[in-house]
Amino acid sequence: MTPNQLAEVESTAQQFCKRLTRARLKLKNAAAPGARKLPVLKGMTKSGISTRPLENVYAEATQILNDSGRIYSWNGEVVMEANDNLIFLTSGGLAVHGAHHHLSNFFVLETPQKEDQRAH
Amino acid sequence: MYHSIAEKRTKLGEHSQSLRASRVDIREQLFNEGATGDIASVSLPAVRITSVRGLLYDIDPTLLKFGNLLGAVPSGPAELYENSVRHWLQRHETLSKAEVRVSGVGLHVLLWFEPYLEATSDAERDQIAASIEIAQAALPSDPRAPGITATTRALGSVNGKNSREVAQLKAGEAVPREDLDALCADLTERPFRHFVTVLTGDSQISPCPICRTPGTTLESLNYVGKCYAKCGQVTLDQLLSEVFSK
Repeated sequence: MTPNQLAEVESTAQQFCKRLTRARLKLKNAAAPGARKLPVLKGMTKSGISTRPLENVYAEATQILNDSGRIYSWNGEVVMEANDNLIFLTSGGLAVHGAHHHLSNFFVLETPQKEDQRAH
Repeated sequence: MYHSIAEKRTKLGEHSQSLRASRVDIREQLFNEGATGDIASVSLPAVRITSVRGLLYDIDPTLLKFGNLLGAVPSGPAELYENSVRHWLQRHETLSKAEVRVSGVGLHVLLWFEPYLEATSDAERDQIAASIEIAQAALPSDPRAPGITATTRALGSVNGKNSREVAQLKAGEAVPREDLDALCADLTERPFRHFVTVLTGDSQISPCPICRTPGTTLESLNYVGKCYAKCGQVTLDQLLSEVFSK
């Protein structure tokens, strides 16, 4: 069902309430002035479960990291350039402790709304 | 130089018609420079908006349900203003500063910001857009109306659908950013109470407008209402079903 068809099924009161809810959520999640605008990765929950084909999510995440120009593969490990230094994000092919903190500088994960509500 | 009175009348009639035609469906931007012109020339996508001058409430009587919470069916937009909208505006400090225009069939209620809401980044524009959309829920207006990209009908222009001239019913006052933020807070923290207060001037409605049982009262809490006699908990959606017609 298209959004227009859905709008015809919904009453004006329902549309009005939904618009208010959406706007409140939009304001709550809006980036503050001066905040970085990071790419958004969709299709994965906080616990790492993929909600769409996993390879597609991997491909998008790889593209985001490639586009950042600060993530490299070196000696079989993944490294990140920071202040003219290289920081190891993996060791022996496994993510090192704190790697996800570094990666959070490159993209944000958009979680499904239901999971977001449960988390709060 | 006219050769006869009939010729003079014809020429003057044509002139007046062409003047009128030039004023048909002229819109006024509520953003950027506030330019006026036909809809195609003044409309802009949200990404090209850098300052917001005003906020539009499009009050369309064909969307409203008269007879219960809103009183009798008005004969036209001026009566809709006198019987209902004037009272809604008076009941809220920020809304009382709104300008009201007859748009043709309905009313355009406008809040004019002074100073304008300036967006210096995408993030700031997104924040302003979200605030505008929240504030647009302060009155029972068309939920499909645009947010920051909205235009209003210019004063003195003519509505092409019904040939009515756009006129001002009430002048507006400048609204500072703080008032918009307060209005948003009102609609975020107590949407149900806001609506009951704006529509009725009180925090409770008797009899309950949902069950309409004599002797019942709908008490408004922040997010929901309570009818202790019959309905139990009443949501904002249920209350607004008695305000909107379909």
